[in-house]
Parts: sequence; structure tokens; C-alpha cells
Amino acid sequence: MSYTSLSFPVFIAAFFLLYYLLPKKYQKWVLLAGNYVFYMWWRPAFGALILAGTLISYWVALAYSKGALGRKKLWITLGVCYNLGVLFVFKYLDFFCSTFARVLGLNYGHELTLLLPVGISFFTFSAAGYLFDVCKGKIEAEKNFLDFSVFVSFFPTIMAGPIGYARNFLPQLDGTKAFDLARVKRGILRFAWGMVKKMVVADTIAVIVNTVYADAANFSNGLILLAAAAYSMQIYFDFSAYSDMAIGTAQALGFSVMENFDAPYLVASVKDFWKKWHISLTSWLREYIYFPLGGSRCKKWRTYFNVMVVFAVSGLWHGAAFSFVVWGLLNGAYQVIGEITLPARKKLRAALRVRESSRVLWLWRCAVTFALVTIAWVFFRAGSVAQGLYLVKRILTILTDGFGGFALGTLGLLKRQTIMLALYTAVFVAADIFQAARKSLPALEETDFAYWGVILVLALSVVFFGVYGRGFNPQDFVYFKF
Amino acid sequence: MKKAREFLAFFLAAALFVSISYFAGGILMPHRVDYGSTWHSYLKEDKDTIDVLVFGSSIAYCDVVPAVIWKNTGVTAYVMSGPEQTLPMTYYYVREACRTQSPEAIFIEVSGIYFTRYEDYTKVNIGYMPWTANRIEATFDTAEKGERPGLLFPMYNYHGRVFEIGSGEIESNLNYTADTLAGYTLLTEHKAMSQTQYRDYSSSKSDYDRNMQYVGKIAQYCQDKGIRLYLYLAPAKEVPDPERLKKLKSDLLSLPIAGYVNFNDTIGDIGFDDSTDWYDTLHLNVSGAKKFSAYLADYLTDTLALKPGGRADTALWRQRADYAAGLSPDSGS
Repeated sequence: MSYTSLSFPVFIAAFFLLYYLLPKKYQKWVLLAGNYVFYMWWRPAFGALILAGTLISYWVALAYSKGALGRKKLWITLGVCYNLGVLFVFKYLDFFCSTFARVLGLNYGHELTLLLPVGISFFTFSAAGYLFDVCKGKIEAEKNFLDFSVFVSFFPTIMAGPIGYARNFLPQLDGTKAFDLARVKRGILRFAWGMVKKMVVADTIAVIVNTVYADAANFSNGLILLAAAAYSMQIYFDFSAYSDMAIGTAQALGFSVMENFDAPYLVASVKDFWKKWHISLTSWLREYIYFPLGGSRCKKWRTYFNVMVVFAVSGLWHGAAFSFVVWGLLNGAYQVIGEITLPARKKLRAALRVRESSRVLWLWRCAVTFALVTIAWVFFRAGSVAQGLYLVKRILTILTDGFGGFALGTLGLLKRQTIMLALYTAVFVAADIFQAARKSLPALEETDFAYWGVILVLALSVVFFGVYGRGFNPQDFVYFKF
Repeated sequence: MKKAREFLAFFLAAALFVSISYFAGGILMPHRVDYGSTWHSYLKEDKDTIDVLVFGSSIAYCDVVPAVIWKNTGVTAYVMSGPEQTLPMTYYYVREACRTQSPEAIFIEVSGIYFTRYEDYTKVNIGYMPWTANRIEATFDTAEKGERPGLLFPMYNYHGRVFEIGSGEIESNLNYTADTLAGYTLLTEHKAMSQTQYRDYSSSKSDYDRNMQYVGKIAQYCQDKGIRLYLYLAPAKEVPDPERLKKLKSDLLSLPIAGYVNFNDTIGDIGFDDSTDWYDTLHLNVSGAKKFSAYLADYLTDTLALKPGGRADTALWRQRADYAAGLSPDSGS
């Protein structure tokens, strides 16, 4: 099930009633049932995948903590191998086999073309993270199977994160959740905010992006640049919207979930971008790959190598294609080059008498960061390295051949729709600036008429300007594909 | 006190959301004054002023000119059919139409008996109905599952028009008036016809049975209401084969109806000119429709002994008759 599907309002209304009205001793069971209904709505058979992952991770962690058969680490290795193995089979097996076959000059005609279970990259990483934490002693193996099952299958985050950490989540399962109106209202507001971001802004931008990417050869260099920048915005609004909806839903149920975004485009370097973009995945990769590799506490070249490894893995995590690997490596390279050139750039700024705290400098660096990240996103969206290279080449051609015109009418949006998009984008960008400035929002949930007035405006925004109706695919979140 | 304010704020927001959404949904729907399902215009008719209601598919709204019937007989008629309308849908149309009119007789063009369960215009057929129990029942009984969200919440289908609708159309949608053509749809083009042929149908036996079942429900409804129900097949150049017609006649006559007539049996008496009176093999153009309507008018009074109810707004009908008199195949050019 997706947050934007028509079945979700029915599901969540029924679920909330049961969750808060049934005797509290059943609350976790209701939550577990809700988790499975939500996940299995799409493909019931994949519920078995979650159940198997839960059983195995639960059991091997206990076996590890009890030192069963005197082989402690063996259990964790088995558990991690199972979780990552499932991910490998469903997501990467075809890719690796066809790549090896190509390298060896063989004809690989045995594609499994397995249907990728939605959220597989998220719940397998959550379970693997739990096993790593148990192994490192950051958390004790969970003895309560019900609690552990709820953690692995927690429906607000299972489809597209934020990736759950057992050490943050399991303690929240102690005791029951009483109905707290202010908290529920905060959750609903966050959810509605995400809904507008997704259905009004991200999905409208997608029209521009899809139009140009589907037939790039027939668009000017300027419009390709515009579509590339638009995709940077689309993927941000799309994914952060999903995170808003997930965090809001969890909040309404009484759970606190990790924030996933923190105004990521309002930063002065790619390194900072990655501190604020998909925070739950970046944290996972840092904690379970980068640090074990030595992190930055080793020689410089080794640190750079570690960064490149982490970003190559990040690329592969997103999809089984070389274009994702190129995207990851580009992001890694930006940071390595950024580190290497930092002293020179500082010297240059000093020579030009530009203060490090200058607003203009910050804006310039934001723009450069956005441009670099956008170039990387081109590969992410293009579908193949060749197509990505073609698009980047067309963008770079602007330097010699110019923009070649901006026929905005060919981008698939009507004039009024374009104005609406500009206005709503401005609102969300303003919200990010507000967030980046660390200004606290007024506690709207403490009010009544003002709060419900805002909810009304958000709901009407979706109804009037949202992308939905016949032909709309509610599964069409960018990160559902990962 | 705080709880009361909270509830009040919530219900106010919810009420505003529903009101604004449904009001906007109504405005954003394309303006509809012809090609059937013209409920907005129909509801502008004075209550209980129509003697004969005509239902069916496009064949009904293209072939019957109520103004001609009134001019020839004084009987007021109105066509309240819908495009590619199946008989279950007609059942809900009959019930809905009879909420504001109490006709002496109902005529249903039954070519739709051979339609499949879901034809192409469910959205139009139900989407323009007023918000009554009939609409809701029709939605769940006759619409494909995928059509239901848009029929229950029109913004689902029409919100995209917010970016394109003009002020003129908004004004028209806020100010529907009575239909000068009383449900008739003007077709001006013509196509020369030759021999009558048998028509191919893609519907199954279960489609036919379901349609027939609803004819039975309509018959029962009319009987309960004391309305005479006449079922007919309009003149056409593509007709069901004799075997089908035989079964159709036998099935229909087993129901409690006032009569069944196949106007193809007397098509020679109507006086069509095959080179000028047809729009296509199933529909008459305006000159053909006027001839058929005049023939139907005589049939109503001479054969069925229908008399004017005397409840009509004479000025309105005179205006309608004058307007219809001026209609010809040249009207469209």
C-alpha cells in the first residue's frame, strides 16, 4: 500500500481506531497486524519475505548472545548473509550475472527478472544494522519476538525509510501508547505537508522531467539543463515528502523516527550535502561500512579510498545498474577532490580577500554544490551511463553553443500549472530556508482553528492541484524502486 | 471548552473541505447540454409538466425531437437518455427522472439490451446525475470499480481542468437553463444509406440477461407507479437478426409492460429519404429525427391514445416548437 493510494485513508482510519480503542494489551498485536496488512496489500506473498527475515534475524541474534555451539560470530555472519543475500538475489543477481557474462564474452540468456519487493533495500538494511549492533554490543539481542517483529515490519517506514535503527526503535516499544491529541495532530500536519510536497510539487515537476528525459534529442541544451535541475528538485521533494509522511504517521502512532532530510540543497559543499540528504542511509553506511574500513582515522589516500567505497556501495544500493554506480562514484569523487583542493581554494579566497563568512561566498558555494549534485543526478535519472553522458555533454555544450532557446510550452505543463508550481515550490523552499536557519516553528498543534485551517488549506491544495486520478500510479515514489 | 473548540474546528474544516470540493467538482465538469445525460437542464423543467419521458442510449436522444411531438399533439415529452447507456443505468435514470416528473408514459429505446456490462460512457452517464440515492446505487451497481472514485468524488476526475477552464465555462456551469431541445441532440450531417443490414454484437448471454433483468425492474417500477411503459426499437439501418428479434420480443412481452414496438417493421410508413435522413446506420440526422418524431406523435395519440396532460408551460413549448421548426441539416453549418 502506498500513502497516496485510495485504500490508505480507509486503512489508516480503521487502524487508528483499533490501535487506540482496543485494550492496550493488544496494541502491539494490532500494530503488527497493521504492518503486515500494509505491506502485503501490494503482493501478499512478499509478507513471507519479511517474516523469514524477522525469524532468522531474531534467532541468530539470540544464538549469538547465548554463544550457541561456541561460535558466536558465525550466527551474526549467517544473519547478515541471509539479509544481504535476499537483497542480492532479488536486486542484483541478474545484474551481476549479465555483467560477468558480458566480461567473459558469453551470452547470458537466463534472466530471472524477479519482481523487486518494495522496500527490500530498507528492511534488509534495518535487520542487518540490528545484527551489527548486537555484534558490537551496542544493543542486546531482543528477547521479545513480538517487539522485534514490529521493528522489522514497522509500516510507516518499511516501503522507503527512513531506515530504522533497532537501538532507537525497540526502547520505544516499552509500555503502551496512549492517545495524545497534540502528538497526533503534529503527525497529521507533517503527513499533510508531505502529501502536498509529493502530489502537488514533485509529481508536477515530474511532468517536465519525464517529457525531456523521454526525448532529450528534441530539446534544446537550455531545456535539458532545466530538466536536470528540475530532477534535482523532483527527487528531493518526492523522497523528503515520503519521509515526511512516514515520520508523521509514526508520530501519530506515538513513535519517533529519525529525520531523513535537513534542507540538503542549502549547503556549501557536497560533503555537507551528504550530511543532510537521506540521513538514515548515510548514517548506516558510515557506521557499518565507512568506520569499519577505518573511516578518516587513517592515511589520507586510505580515507579517500574509504569514501569512494562507501559511495560506490551507496550507488549500488540505489539500483543494479552502472549508472547508479557512476552517480555514487561522482559523489565520492566530488568529496575527495573537495578535500584535496581545499587548501588551494582557501588560499585563493584569501588572495581575493573574500571572507569565509561572506554571504555571497556561501551563495556561490551553494550554487556550485547544487550544480555538481545535479550533474550526478543526471546519471541517476538517465537509466544508462551512455544516456547520462549524452545529457551531460549537451549541458556542457551550453558553454560553446548557448542555451538554444527556452520553449517552456513544450515541457508538458499548462501556463496556470507552471505558475502554481512556482508558487508552491517557493513555499517549500522558504520552509527549507526557515529550517536551515534553525528557527523553531510555532506549535500549531496547540491551536484549534488555526491548525485545522492549515490542514484544510493543505488538503484543498492536494485536491485542486495534486497529480492524481485515473492513470495515476500511487506506487510511483522515486525511492519505491530501490 | 477546549475539547468543544477542537471538535468545532475539526467539523468546520471537514464541512468546508467537502463543500468546496464538491462545489468545485461540479463547476469543473465540462458543460453538458447535449449528447445525453443532460441532468442539469432536465432539472430546470417545471415539476410534473412532462407527459412522456424517453430513455435509452444515443439512439433515443438523436432520434426523438420532443418539440415536434408537442406541436403535433400537445403531448409534452423529454428525452433523458445517456450515451451507450445500458439497461441497468436506464433503471436508475427512470427512478431519478420520476423524482421531479410524473409522466403518463415512459418510452425506452431498447437497443441497449445488446450492450456489454460496461460501455464507454459510465463517467458521463452517472457523473451528471444529481446527488441522490439513485446516483450512489448506480455507481456501485453499474460502474466499473476504477470509475467509482471519480463518480463519488468528482474532483478525482476533473481537478486537472482547474488549469484550463475559462471564466465563460464557469459561468455557464453555474447557470444551466431549461433545454430548448428538451433532451434532443441535433445532428446535421448526413450519410446516404443503402440496404439494411444485420448488426454484430459483442455482448454475452449474461450481459443480455442482466440487461433484461433490469428491464424487468423498470417494468415493475412503472407498474407500481402507474406509469405506462412502452419499449421500442428505433428505425435503423443496422438491426438485430430475426432470431434475436424473436427472442427479444418474446422476453419483453413476458414482462408487465404496456407495449413493445419495433419501428423497423413500419419504417416504410415513416417516409425516410435514405439519401438525406441518416447520420449513420444507427442514428437519424435532424430531418430524419423530425420525420420519426412526427410519426411517433401520431402513434402516441392514434394508437396509444395518449392525451396531453395540460400541465405544460405553453410559452416555453411554443418557443421550443418554433426553434425546432427552424432546424434543418443546414443548421450545423
